[in-house]
Amino acid sequence: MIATTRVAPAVLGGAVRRALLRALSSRPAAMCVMGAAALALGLATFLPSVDLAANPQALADRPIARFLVEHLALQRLVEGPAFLAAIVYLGAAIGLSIVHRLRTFVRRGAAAGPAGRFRVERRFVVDAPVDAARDRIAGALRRAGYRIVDTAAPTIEGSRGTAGFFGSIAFHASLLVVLAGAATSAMTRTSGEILLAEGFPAPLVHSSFHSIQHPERLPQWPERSLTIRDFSADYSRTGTNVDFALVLSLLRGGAVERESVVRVNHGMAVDGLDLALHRYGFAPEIGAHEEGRERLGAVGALQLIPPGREDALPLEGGGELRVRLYPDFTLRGGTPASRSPVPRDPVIEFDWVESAGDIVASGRVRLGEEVKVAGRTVRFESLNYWASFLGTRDDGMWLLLLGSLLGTAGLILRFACPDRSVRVHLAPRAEGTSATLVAATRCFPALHEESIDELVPGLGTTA
Amino acid sequence: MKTEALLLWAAVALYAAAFALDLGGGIFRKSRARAIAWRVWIVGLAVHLCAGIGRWWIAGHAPVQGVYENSLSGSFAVAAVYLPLAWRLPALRRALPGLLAVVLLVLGNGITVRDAAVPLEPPFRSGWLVVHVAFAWLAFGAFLVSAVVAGLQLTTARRGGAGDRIAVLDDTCGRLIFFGFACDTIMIASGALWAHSLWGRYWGWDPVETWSLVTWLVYGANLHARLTLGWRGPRAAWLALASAVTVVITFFGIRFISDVHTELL
Repeated sequence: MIATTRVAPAVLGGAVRRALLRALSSRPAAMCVMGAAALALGLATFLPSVDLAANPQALADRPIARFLVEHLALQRLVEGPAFLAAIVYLGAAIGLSIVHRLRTFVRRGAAAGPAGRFRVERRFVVDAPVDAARDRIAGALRRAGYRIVDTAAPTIEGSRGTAGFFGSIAFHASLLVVLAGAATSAMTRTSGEILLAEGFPAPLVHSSFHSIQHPERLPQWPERSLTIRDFSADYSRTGTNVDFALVLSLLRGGAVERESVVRVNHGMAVDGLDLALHRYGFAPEIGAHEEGRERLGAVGALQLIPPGREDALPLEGGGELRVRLYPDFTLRGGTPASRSPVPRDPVIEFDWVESAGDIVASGRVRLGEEVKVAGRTVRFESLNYWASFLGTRDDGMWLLLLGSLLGTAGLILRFACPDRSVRVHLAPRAEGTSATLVAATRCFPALHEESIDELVPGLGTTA
Repeated sequence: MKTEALLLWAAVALYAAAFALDLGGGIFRKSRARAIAWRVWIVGLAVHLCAGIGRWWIAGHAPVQGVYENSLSGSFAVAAVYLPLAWRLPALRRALPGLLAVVLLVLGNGITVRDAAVPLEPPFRSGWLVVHVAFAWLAFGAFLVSAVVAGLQLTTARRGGAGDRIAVLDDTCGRLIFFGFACDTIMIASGALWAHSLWGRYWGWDPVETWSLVTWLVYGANLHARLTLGWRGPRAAWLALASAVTVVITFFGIRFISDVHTELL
């Protein structure tokens, strides 16, 4: 189905160029490119993932491995000119093939008799004169799904599977749509991550995003901001998180413009930017004082899950406050632990570390309380959640969706309606009519022959 | 949990018994043994189905999470694709030992790493899950059964079997590849759309995605060989057998290289 030889040569002159083009646009050539691409991709996944830019001395003692990683690592391969050329070549071959097949279809007509590769011939006798036999056979073929074309007696011609032909065309066209979608995506896609803590709106500006790709493609949202509230997380009996959700609000000038319940797989779109809920964590509000001087007063979006995991907040003037959170505090054999991941009785364990790296104070503080250790006070003001969203804008997605739908519909049609054609030649004989049926198909000839053998006994007596 | 494990082991025992009976019946030319093997494996399939439903009941979701559940579903898909075909085309019943060997290998892979039933993690809570995984397993089943049929075709040809029977096996192999390719296409497309809503990108060239594309390209080439170049007979059968290697790597081999596809979840 891929590639043709009829259209491309007309574009370029010269016998050599014509021969080269013919070879390149032949079906085996297209298949070879598909096979080579598959082989290269497959092998590239087995190469070790070594970042040679970050570690230039890596694999220095293994020059072949180094060469392969340098030139055939998956990311390098798919962004390389050879791979892009293969895609362009396959796209061109598919396009030419579609044009060629449609032109052939129009020239031949929808039912021009047996033209398939595999043929089967059956002879039988109909106990009726030619005209009556013709009507009987044409009726039986119609009931079997063949479209009969008007031809002069004594021949009947019919075909079926036109829908399958267009299914195949639709499938190949869908590949072009998908390629167009991928190209559009490469030119328009932008993404970044935005982190929001409960109760603290973040302006919807470029600087609120981090890990941003192609910031110049991000739209502008004047006077808009985002905020989250009512975070909830569900856990299984073993403590594994099974769901989390929150209310995401879009604010304009401080007033809620739109809000939606958001969970993983169910995001919210803001002016072409798809916001997908990505991850979450605890955002405790902690105050730290030393001899009347405030060293810390902040809400930190910290990595404190699972319970007991340590993260740190910087202290003013140097040093840091290392914290561990136990959402449902208990002591197990004198060691702090958490009964569950749900913050029923949150307690923070802290280490006050000065710039030199010395731990000068350690302790525990319950939510809403403060504790004084070695002249230093730590207050656990409140506990909220933070959530991170992946913001993506990709104008190629609708083409990819369209291509997926078109391709699926095309394949279903092609599978359900295999192309078949039939020609029956009738000749009068002393008693009745002698018929010779030639049926043809491009694929699955044995199954086709079975269907013809089921059809013939209903038409007449086998000669 | 206990009932589900018992059912699963019963299915394994029934499959193994059917395998031995059919193989023995073939070697010693005992058609009765083969007829019994056919019945035993269908009972095994029914018990396998019950084990799958049991797992579904316990876990509260379709058995599609983790190696164990995927082996349970994958081996069932292989058997479920084969059953209606062999029912309609008795010539395919001779492929039963090959089919059971594949089913037992896939099932055995899961039993060795039996996971506890756990609720679905947040990323899996999507309507795309059923579409993506169901079509993945259908494609897997169709491709592996096509390889088994290709093997039977080559064996029959070597033994000087009837030409029309070989031709029917050849066509059946081709149609299975076509069906598998359609399912593979839907699997990849649904996965890409799901990945966009989950990870903000439709394609990331992780090893599993890459090998899915490799499989798709290889079977696309298979279809072109059959439908446009007219490949038939041993050449097409060997190609179908060789292509099954990509399926095995995609579904099982790649996790020895990287778990990134599911780690991201």
